[in-house]
Amino acid sequence: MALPLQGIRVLDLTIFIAGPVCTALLAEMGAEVIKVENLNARLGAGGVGLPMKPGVQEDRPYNRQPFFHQLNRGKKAISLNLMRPEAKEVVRSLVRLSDIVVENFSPRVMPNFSFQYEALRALNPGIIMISMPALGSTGPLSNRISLGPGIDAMSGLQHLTGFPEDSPMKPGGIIGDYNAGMIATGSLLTALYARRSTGLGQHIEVAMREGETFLIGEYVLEAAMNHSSPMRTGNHHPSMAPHNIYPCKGDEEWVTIAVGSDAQWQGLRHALGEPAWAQDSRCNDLLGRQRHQAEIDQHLAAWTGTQSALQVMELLQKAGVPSGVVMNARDMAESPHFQARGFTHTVETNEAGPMHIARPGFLLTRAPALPMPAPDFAEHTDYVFGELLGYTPEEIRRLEEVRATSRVPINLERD
Amino acid sequence: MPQGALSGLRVLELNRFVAAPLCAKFLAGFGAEVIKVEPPGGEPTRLMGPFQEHVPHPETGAPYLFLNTGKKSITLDPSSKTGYALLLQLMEQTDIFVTDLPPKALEDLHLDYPALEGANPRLIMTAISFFGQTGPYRDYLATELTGFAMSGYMFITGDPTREPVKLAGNIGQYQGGLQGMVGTLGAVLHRELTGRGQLVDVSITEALAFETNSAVTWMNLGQMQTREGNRLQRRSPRGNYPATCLPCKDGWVHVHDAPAGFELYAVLMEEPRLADPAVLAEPWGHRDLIDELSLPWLSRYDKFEVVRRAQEMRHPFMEVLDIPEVLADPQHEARGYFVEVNHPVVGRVKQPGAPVHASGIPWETRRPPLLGEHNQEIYQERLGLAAGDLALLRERGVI
Repeated sequence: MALPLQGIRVLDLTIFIAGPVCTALLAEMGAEVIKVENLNARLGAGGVGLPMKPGVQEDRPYNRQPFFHQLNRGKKAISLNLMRPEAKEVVRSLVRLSDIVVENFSPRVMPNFSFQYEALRALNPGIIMISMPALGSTGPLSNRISLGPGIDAMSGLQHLTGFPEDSPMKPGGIIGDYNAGMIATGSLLTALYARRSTGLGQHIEVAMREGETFLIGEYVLEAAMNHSSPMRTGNHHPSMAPHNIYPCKGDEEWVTIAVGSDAQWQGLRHALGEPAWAQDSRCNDLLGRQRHQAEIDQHLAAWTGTQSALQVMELLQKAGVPSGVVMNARDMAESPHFQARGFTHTVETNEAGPMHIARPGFLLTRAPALPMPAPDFAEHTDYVFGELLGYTPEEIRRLEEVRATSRVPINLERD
Repeated sequence: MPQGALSGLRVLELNRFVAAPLCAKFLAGFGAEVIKVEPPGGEPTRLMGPFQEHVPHPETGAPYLFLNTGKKSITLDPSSKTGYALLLQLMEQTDIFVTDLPPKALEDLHLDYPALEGANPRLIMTAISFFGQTGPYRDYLATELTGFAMSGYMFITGDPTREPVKLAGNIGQYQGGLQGMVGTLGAVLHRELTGRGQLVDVSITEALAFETNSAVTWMNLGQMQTREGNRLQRRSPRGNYPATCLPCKDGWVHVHDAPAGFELYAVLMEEPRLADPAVLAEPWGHRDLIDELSLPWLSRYDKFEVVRRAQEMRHPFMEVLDIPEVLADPQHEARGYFVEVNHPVVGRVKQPGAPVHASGIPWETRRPPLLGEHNQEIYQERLGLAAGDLALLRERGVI
């Protein structure tokens, strides 16, 4: 079956999450993605801190990291020490054979390696290069050092998330990275579409913070339009009430209830068996329910506290009220709904046995992705150096001798 | 003005929520022609506040103004016989149909993919819903809150001493919209190869769940992700710390140890107790102590000064900016991130412009359409209806 990106080759110089997510999606759509890893990549911060799956090859834990398989599904891997001129030559050769180069280093790194877009374009005028700097490659703050949720802070999203009486709250997931990865992927697909008629490549930049501020665009527009300063509102909603999360029977069991109309309020009352407290006519419209929100929440919590989240959800869904279990990881894994939709795949890895990976939120029904594991460290050394680039086994050995590449991770600093 | 990369692609958008509009906003930004198909009274996000000067008006809601830049608007009641026939005529000339109507509503309106595929085999239909087009929860009712809860994202967001909390606004639906945009463009490239369109089935809960990694971490390792508040979670006492949010003199800052080494943090904080060998050996194990010992230094300066000093010593601190501060940010200013759009009802209004910068795929942020603004253009010029027909349709409430 044809996949959307068959015949497209991607040179993947990415690290952390935003870049690898982008190239993982390209691989799922059928591109050949060649991931270039530093010789010590899987020994460093990205490796040791993350848990490994027990496996048959106890001496190579770096090939058994579930998160690595999740982020690098379907790619091919080589290692390169870009401080070596021989390794830089390999990159230049791969640029000539590729359609796309993806990188998400800080803005100074690629120019320091002489891999800025102009240099790559000279090698291959059709090359599409994408960069994902935290704050952008231009502007007074472009050289700020940035890691992790700092982007949430500067985007405005953190200020708007959480309870008004508490501190701003960081998202539980790594939203800025995934978001930038999605914008980058969409931009690359658009650039590929455009290249059909122009034949030309280009340089694309997705600044992670700009992508994240985009997610709160309506708040920014409101603040500019009304000269206001929007504030976080916890789990409340400006035009729905009740709209909250409620504790259920058991530890860390929660359910959400969102009443979006007067009819849904009637449905909720009915499902509860028309309790006396809910008969108050002041609660028949939104304004009244908002005014008495705290009271309503107390009553609802007392009711949800006596049953399981699943019971509440099923009862209220039948009554026409949007309600959902606050699912934890296990609920997700065991949910009949997500199982029926094949949200997770099992892939066979070389050294860790079967590994579970989750697919993205879109399904191309006529071109579904083939579930594949991530490559072992430097697994495709012979394919990339030998078959693609035409190096002889002797030449590959020489590259290994000078530590331009390696088949096992090496800590060059200690070496 | 260079032509947009997607110019020539025709998109129809039919929405009930905000996911489809966000998806189509991207396609419009890159130059596709996006026609919003609205019920004669206007689509639901026109009713979402806040409005200009807080006066409800179908043209002045902030969500509508942000989500619909660069689109056209026609009115049409797809549940009427005539309306449906007109919509199918449009469908035949359409490359991409983006919708976030629930699956059941699409079936009831005969707008599900099997119903449309016959009329136009090249049609790409991107159907975004909270739970996808199949599965036991397919027809569950949901709002942003419900979807966020059932994706697993809510359980891991918030302070461990309190109940979980949702992200601001409509982030879940926007991630669904963005992933839908990626799938849509994949389907466009697939059609270039095969000549066939297809259904792109997008689930908002799965889009969010993909971004948390919770379910597969449980399946692979038996580990349960929990809430750690503002702290970036580590699994071993030796793990790096701080990576959290702490108060300073006038607000909040993201506080983070330097990649060059945690021992530098004690120097920045001018606090020798942070260089205690026990703390250095196990930063995550001493996270409460590290917070406590950081507060005195942080309380001396405002957030911009804290970050300036920290960045000078290569610590990746960042200010927690409120929205007016985001609007005034010099980096955004220098990069021209915000654009002003001139709107006939609202006047000039500032908003985020392009989320991506590229020479070959220019992004345009044009004003959103007034309700039914393009009825004449689409019905008369494209479908060949007479002016009299239009008046009749309007009278009968079809458009």
